[in-house]
Amino acid sequence: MRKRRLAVTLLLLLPLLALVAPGRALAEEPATAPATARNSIAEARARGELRWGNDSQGGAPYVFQDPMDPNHLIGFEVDFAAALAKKLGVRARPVQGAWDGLLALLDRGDFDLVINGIEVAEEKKRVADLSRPYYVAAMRLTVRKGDAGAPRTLGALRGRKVGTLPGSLAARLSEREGAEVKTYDGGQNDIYDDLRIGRTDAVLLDDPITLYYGAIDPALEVVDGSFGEVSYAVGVPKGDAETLAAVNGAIEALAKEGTLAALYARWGLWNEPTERLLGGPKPPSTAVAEAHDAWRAAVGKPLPFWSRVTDRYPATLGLFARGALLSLVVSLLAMTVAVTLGMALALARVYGPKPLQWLAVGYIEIFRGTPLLVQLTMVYFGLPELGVTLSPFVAGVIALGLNYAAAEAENYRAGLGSVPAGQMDAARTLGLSKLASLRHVALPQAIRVALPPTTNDFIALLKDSSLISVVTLTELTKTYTSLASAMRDHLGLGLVVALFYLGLSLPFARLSRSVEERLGSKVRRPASA
Amino acid sequence: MSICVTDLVKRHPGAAAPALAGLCMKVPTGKIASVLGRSGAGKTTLLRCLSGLDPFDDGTIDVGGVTFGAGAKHGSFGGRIGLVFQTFELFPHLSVLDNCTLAPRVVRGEARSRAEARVKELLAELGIEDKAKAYPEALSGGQKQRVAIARALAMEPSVLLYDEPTSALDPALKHEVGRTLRRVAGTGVTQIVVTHDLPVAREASDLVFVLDKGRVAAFGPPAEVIAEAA
Repeated sequence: MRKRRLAVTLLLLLPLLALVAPGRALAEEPATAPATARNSIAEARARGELRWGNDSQGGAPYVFQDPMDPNHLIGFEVDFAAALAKKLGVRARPVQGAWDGLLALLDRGDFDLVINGIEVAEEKKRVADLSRPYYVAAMRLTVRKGDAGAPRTLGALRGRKVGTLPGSLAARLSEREGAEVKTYDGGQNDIYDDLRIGRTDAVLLDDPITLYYGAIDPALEVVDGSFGEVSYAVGVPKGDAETLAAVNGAIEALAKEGTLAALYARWGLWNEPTERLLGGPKPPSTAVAEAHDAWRAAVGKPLPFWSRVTDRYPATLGLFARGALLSLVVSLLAMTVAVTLGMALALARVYGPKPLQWLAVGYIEIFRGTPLLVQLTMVYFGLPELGVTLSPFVAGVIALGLNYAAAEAENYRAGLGSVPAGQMDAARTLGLSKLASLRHVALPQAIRVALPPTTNDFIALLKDSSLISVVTLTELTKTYTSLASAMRDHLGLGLVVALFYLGLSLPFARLSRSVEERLGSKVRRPASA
Repeated sequence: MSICVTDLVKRHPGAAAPALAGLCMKVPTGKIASVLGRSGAGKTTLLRCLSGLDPFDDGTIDVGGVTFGAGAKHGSFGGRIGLVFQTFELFPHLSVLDNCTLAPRVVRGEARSRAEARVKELLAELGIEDKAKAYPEALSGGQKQRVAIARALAMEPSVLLYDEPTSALDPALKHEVGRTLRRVAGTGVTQIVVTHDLPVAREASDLVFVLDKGRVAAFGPPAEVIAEAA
């Protein structure tokens, strides 16, 4: 009977999955391909679609959600990818991934290319091949306006707190100068916010970021002059010579015909080093930085809270709802794995023969004692080495499920431990087999004890499911961090995402209370009366 | 049906002396036998071996002409011997009716309606038919005991064992136990009662066995044996 109930539950979940699936197909989630003998460009041409990896949380002006309509990705690299794809005879499809892991995801086969401010640097070349550069950015130093002690030269950075992006040239430069470097995984916005409120003394970052986040803040000042140059290149799978040649050829053609110049001018990014790099025509003198102006108009001056609620937030609700649905479905499936496996582990640990007990204890200690993030990374990025390449969705469900199974096993063990030994003896003297005694006598009582902690765990799992964003899934938290970066609004959108999380968790807390009451009333009727 | 225990031996691992050292006893069909003895005399071990909870090392147990030897697996008496626990061990998550019908339905595959009809008769015989839908926590000690007896009887055992049936009851209820035993005896079930309670043994039983060091030290009608012991 229990089996049938499980089957029914799974059947009920299927439509939910179907709801998520089209969303995944339409936008950011990658399909998975084997990572051997890559020829990205041939694959993309066969598909008619070029999957290019990026992290929209990185923000403007690279790849970000349009603050006026967050359902669309915009940015100079969105335009660049579209132009590049067109030259290559395919459509461009952006695929989301965590910025730190973009090249690892490329290596794994989740993208054909990576276009997201990838700097030309030796450490990047170890992981992927890099195309010829398509843009050169100057390094700019931003300080607080009116800060008399602000560092205004590289040398002055010694011993000062400098904010920048992890793994960037700016970070290496600052470290070399002896600065105390603070790097940020979140949006660019945070880096300048921290400078404004005094958590750092300066920010050293590429020109485009400075222009879109530092320069628009009236409390900040961009120090004159360049502090170095960094080139951006397209990340191509290691050893994929055909794709590298095709991408290089396309970039050269785009430079020669002036497409890149016009594109950079539109985003206000045209500069002298890029002009030297491209060598082609300059943008027309009539060109205006309309995209940059639109950005300033959208986020330059924060709107009052209520205007944001009425004007900006409604457009985000669809994205939040999709993120919430993904979080919920992943959590429900992961919990199904955790409950089933956890029960088996608990039974093995309490009633199994010695070797099985040791195995169960080993499993529980290993999975409980190591971080979920490590497990998820091993499942998603590590297993392909053994020939097991899982989709992000499956990897997320499995990693969360395996991790929480350890916690569930301990809940059920506590539950089974709370059933007096005499209960099993009584069942056996009535002629029930060991299995039947477990099923009809011990388990129903154990579950009553284990239910409250299990519900707690489910709510914790719902929140931990935010980790699946590292395997390219745009769940609820990732939806929030991307939107907050694109709309420069952490507090207001934070309240919105909090409401979504509460909307997911409160019904389960309530359900558990009512189930507990129902089970409790059976055994404690006189006490509760 | 009668029960005959012959040369029963049970050794606990690590213990110097066996808990049961060649114990013999015979109780005729429908009779009530009390088993007395100091702590450590082997009473609990005897119960656990007779009920199939623990295996024994040597000897035989004969129930109604079917003989079980050493190495017989737990529960292999096939429901021929039931046990009423000292603490009753009713299943707290099941109603009285479900407590009693669980084993017939799960072990014998009996239809729920048939099992419930039989159990309701048993409950009526024991005077607790109005408690069928109650849960164990709502019952008094005496009621719990009668449910535990009904639950064991629902499997239609030949022999019913009791572990200290009066110890968990109010003194005022103790005389009820004797009456219940007599009612059950009327159905032809053979009963063995392990107890400390001399008055109950004297009033309720047909036969008394006194255990010492894992053997029967004395047996006979209660009037004789208990007078001797006292």
